[in-house]
Amino acid sequence: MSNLLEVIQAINIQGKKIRKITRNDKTYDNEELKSFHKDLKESSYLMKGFKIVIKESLSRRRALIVILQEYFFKDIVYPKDMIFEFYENKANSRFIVENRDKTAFKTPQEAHPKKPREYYEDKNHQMYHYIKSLELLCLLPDSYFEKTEAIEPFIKLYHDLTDK
Amino acid sequence: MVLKTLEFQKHTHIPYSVTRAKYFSNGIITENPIQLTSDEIKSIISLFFCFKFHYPNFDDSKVPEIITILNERNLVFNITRDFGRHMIENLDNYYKGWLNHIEKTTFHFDKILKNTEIINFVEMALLDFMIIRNWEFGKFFIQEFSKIIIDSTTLERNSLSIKRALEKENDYLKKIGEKILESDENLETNESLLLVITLQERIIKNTVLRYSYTLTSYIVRENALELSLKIDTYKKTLSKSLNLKWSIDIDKGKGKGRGRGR
Repeated sequence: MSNLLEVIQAINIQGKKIRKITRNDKTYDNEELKSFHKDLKESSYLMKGFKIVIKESLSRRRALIVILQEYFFKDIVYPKDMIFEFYENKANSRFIVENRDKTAFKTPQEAHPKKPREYYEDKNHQMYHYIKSLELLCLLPDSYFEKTEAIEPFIKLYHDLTDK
Repeated sequence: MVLKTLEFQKHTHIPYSVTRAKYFSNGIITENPIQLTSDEIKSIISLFFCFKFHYPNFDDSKVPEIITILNERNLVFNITRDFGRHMIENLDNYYKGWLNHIEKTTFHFDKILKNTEIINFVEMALLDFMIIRNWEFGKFFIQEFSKIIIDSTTLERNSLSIKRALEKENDYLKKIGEKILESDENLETNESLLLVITLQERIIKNTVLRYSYTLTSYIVRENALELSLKIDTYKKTLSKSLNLKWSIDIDKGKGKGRGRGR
């Protein structure tokens, strides 16, 4: 069978699953969106064989948040002897990191702060920017996180910061 | 978090060359920092979106591609640029606020393409959301690209008979695939898939899956320049496919052949 017909067969398999990722084409259904992306991720290996690269690009800050969360979600503070570059490299291999400019977010605390309320204190604007960074990651956590045990505390963190 | 799908509305795009000419006089850049109009800055951001989408971590080796994008004569890149603009017009309140802040900023025009705040905005407010909007991009792309690579007269002449032939098929996507292969077997798989989805979109429109649109997005992201260079090949392939005989029933006579090949 030709490669094209093989891809078509893979598409037909997806077609058998009913995924209504939007409601009346107006808003996204977050749960369906998650399932859709799970399927997409599962087919990425197959598609790679047809030169279709299913890999997400992500801003450096969001990519760092994901990696730091995975490695340090249990820690109250970041270890003093950690080598930030190691995590930077992890982010670059997991995602297509859009911007490698390292002038901002030079430390883990700047990228994904521990005790964010204290860290941002009266810097409301920066705090909100951070919350917005978390928000997208909370929408499709399974697409970003590989260490699944880091997800629950991550979502809790988002809710803690957004609950008034 | 409630995320809305994009609403495609009319907008005014200002070509980069026009904005550039406005702030240059006799080949010399205006010395004082300038504040661009809302349409000018949004148009420039849509171009940023285009090159960051196709070349996420571009370096100096990508300068020729960036120049091509800024020239705005490449039909494929222009589709991405227009999609970026639709995303800009559909920002949520937080990111709209950030955009308003950028609109009020003054820039040295010759440094605008290296402005970190614009780059951050493009990444965090636009590109990061492509994981969700990939299928919307794929759909938009197929609709626009089909206008470039499908000859409307050939389509009009054949679409009804092809549609009828496809309706008799269990697996119409496979049938379209076979016809594309019959027309040109030298295309890469991802290219021929793009042509299959294009024909599906134009002939049996409402059957295209979001999954197919999403795959389209990934194909276009990686291959935009190659796609634009092969537009004439795709035109020929699609024209040939549309002119092929699609129905098997007619050849086999009344009653015969029905249900075969399923």
